[in-house]
Amino acid sequence: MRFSDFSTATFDVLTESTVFCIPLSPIIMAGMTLRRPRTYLRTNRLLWALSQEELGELMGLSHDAISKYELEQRPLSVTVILASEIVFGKRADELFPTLYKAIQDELGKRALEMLERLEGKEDKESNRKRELLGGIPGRTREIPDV
Amino acid sequence: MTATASPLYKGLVLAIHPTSRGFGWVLFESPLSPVDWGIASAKVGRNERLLKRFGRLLSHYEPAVLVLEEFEGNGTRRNDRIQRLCREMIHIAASKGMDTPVYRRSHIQICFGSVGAVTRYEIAEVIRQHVDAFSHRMPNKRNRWDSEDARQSLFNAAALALTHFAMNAAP
Repeated sequence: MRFSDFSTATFDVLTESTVFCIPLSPIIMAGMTLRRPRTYLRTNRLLWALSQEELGELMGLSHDAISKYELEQRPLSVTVILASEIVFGKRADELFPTLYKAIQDELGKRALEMLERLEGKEDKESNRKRELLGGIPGRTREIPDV
Repeated sequence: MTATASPLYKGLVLAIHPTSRGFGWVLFESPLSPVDWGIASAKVGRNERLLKRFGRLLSHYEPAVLVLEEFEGNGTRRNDRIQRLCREMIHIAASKGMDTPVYRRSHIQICFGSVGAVTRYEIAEVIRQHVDAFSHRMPNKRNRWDSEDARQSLFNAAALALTHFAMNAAP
């Protein structure tokens, strides 16, 4: 077990007796959900040593607004999403995975419904729509469950 | 629509390193991928305020694991307040169903020994080199007559989390 092995993920594991754990009820453990962060706005702000005031200044918002977005106390605006992509050079699905996944899932369901309604129609417009809707699954991004 | 759940994902890992003024904390998603980090401090009603801060961290991020360094028993020099704080943190975390491993300093030294880092500063230097997010938080090397830089607690907490990942990695 060495720090230098992190990149290859091949660790020698120390024996269980070397760790002191408070035993947990299996019932409690079974009820645990393995959550991922819903937004990476704060992570990226801290990564680049920006204060909430500084990020707010960049985005034309107050530091209080940035705090609320970071704490998920305010729904994300288009301005914040686009500005975050530009400032941090990352895609919206990387910065706001939960929101992106929710939109992507809903959009997929609606696209399937529209495709079903087009069944049996062979006119040019319907074929054109089918081409667009059929391509949506290929344009979705893999987002870890949150 | 595509969605993947990595079988290797075991939840967020919160590592805390208490100091005389508060605690440094780091939240990791996976080794070398910190999500959030900071230094909490309080001047009056210290443990009470620090526990409130700790509670806010738990309710916001819902981590699966709380990692602490051994704080009581032979070989530790933590004062009563810090020992009480750590015990209460473990109690709160366990009541939420979190795993609460406590590692000895020797475990951290074994983990980082492979890259020649033994002292807390040397370990912090290794973390700075590997975790880009902390590169600008590296404290200056401490003189013997200086008190410890508060930022060192951030690196101490990160070292704990990385030790946890190393000790729980698949062989």
